[in-house]
Amino acid sequence: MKDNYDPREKMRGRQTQFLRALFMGDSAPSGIDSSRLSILRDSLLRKRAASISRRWPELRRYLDGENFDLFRRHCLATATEFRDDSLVDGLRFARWLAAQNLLDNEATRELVAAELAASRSPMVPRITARRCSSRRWVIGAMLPGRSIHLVGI
Amino acid sequence: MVADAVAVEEAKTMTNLGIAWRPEISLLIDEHQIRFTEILAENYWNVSELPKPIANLIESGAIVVPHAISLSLGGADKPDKTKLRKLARLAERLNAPYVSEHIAFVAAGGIESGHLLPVERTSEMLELVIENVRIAQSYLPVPLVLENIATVVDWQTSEISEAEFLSTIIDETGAGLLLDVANLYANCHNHGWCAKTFLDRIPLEKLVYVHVAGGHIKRKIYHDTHTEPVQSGPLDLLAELCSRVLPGAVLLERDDHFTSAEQILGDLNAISEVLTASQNTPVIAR
Repeated sequence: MKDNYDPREKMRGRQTQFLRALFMGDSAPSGIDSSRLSILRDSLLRKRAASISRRWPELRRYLDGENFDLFRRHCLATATEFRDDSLVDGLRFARWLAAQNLLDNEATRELVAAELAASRSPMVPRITARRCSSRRWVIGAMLPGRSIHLVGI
Repeated sequence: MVADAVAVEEAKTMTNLGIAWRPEISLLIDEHQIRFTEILAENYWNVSELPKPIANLIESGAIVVPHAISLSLGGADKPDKTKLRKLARLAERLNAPYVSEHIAFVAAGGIESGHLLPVERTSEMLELVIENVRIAQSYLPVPLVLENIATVVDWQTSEISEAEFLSTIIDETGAGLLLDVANLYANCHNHGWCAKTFLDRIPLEKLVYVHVAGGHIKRKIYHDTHTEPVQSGPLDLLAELCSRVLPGAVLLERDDHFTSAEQILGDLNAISEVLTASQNTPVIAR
C-alpha cells in the first residue's frame, strides 16, 4: 500500500479542494479559514471584474454595485471554464447574460461586434443577430476586410 | 515632478531603480530613461514581434526581465514543458540576465485561478517544489529567481515557516531570491508574522532584486493590489532590508490607475529616498 503512495496525488487533492472551495463554494480543506477564503474570493472576483471592464466597457455596469451579484453567480456557475484572459472572460460573461435576456442594447451591440471581429476568416462575409433585454434585436454584419456594421430593429 | 525626476536620476546611479513595464507607462519609462524593467512573460511569449517600446529598450541595453506568473512551481503538478520552452525563448529574445517566478500554485484539478495562491508548507510539499524548480531550471538558459507571494489566507496546517521554506528551496536549487517587500508586509499584517525574523532567516546573499508595490487595507486585511501609491509599511521594510544589504535592483510594480504620472514618480522618489539613506550599506556583488 505504501509503495503506491504518491505525494503529488495527495497535494493535487488538497489544492483542488482549495480551488473548489474558493471558486465553487465547496467546503474548505483542513487548515484553511473559510472566512478568509471568502474575503479572497471577493477580492479576486473584483479584480477579475475590473480586468473585464477595461476590455468590455459596456459590461461595466454589470460588474459593480448591485449587479456585481450577477457576476458572482456567473463565476460560481462557470468556475471550471475560467481562463486568465479578460477578453475571453468578458465574452463568456456577456454570452451568459445574453442567454438570460439580461443584456441591454449597448452591451448586446458590443457582444455582436466582438463575435464578428473574432471571425477567423476575415474575407468571408458573416451576419449574426442577438436579442437584447428590451426584446429588440441587434443585427451585425461583417463585410470582407473586417468592416463591421450593426443595426437595431 | 522635476524634483521627483532628479531624485529618480540620482537613485539610478547607485542601484538599478526600475518599474514594471506596462503599455500605459511606456512613455514614462522612456522619458525617464528607466534602465531596469520587467515584462509579464505570459503576455509576450506567444507574440511574433515584441512591442516597439520593449524592442527599443532591449536595443538600448536596458535590462528587461521576463516575470512569469503561471508556471505554478508550488503546484502539485510538474511545471508545463511548453510554457517553460516559451519562457526560455523569451529570455533569449530579451537578452535577459535572469527570469523570475513565484513560489505559489495557480491551478489544480483542471481549475485555473488566475491568481498566485499559497503553498501548504509541509516537508512533502517542500520536496515537490524543489523538484519543480529543478525541472524549470533545466529548461531555462538563464538563472531562475524566486519570489515570495502575498496571501490573504494561509494553510494553518503548514509545518514550516515561509522564510525557512523559501530558504531551503533556494539553498537546494541554487535559485536567486526576488524579495517582494510589499508581499512580506501583507503577510506580516494578515498573519501576524514578524518581518525582522523573516529577514533574519532568508538568504540575503542570494538576493537578486526587490519588488515594491502599493496596496490597501480593507476589512483589516491588507490587499496587495498594485493599484495605489506605495504606503509607509512596505517602504519601512525596504529600509529595514537596506540596513542589512543594499539590493542590486529595486522595481516598482504598478498594474492599474496609471492616470497620474506624478503619483508613479512619487513612488519612485520614495523608493530612491530609502536607497539614498542606505548608501553605506554594501551593494551585493554579482
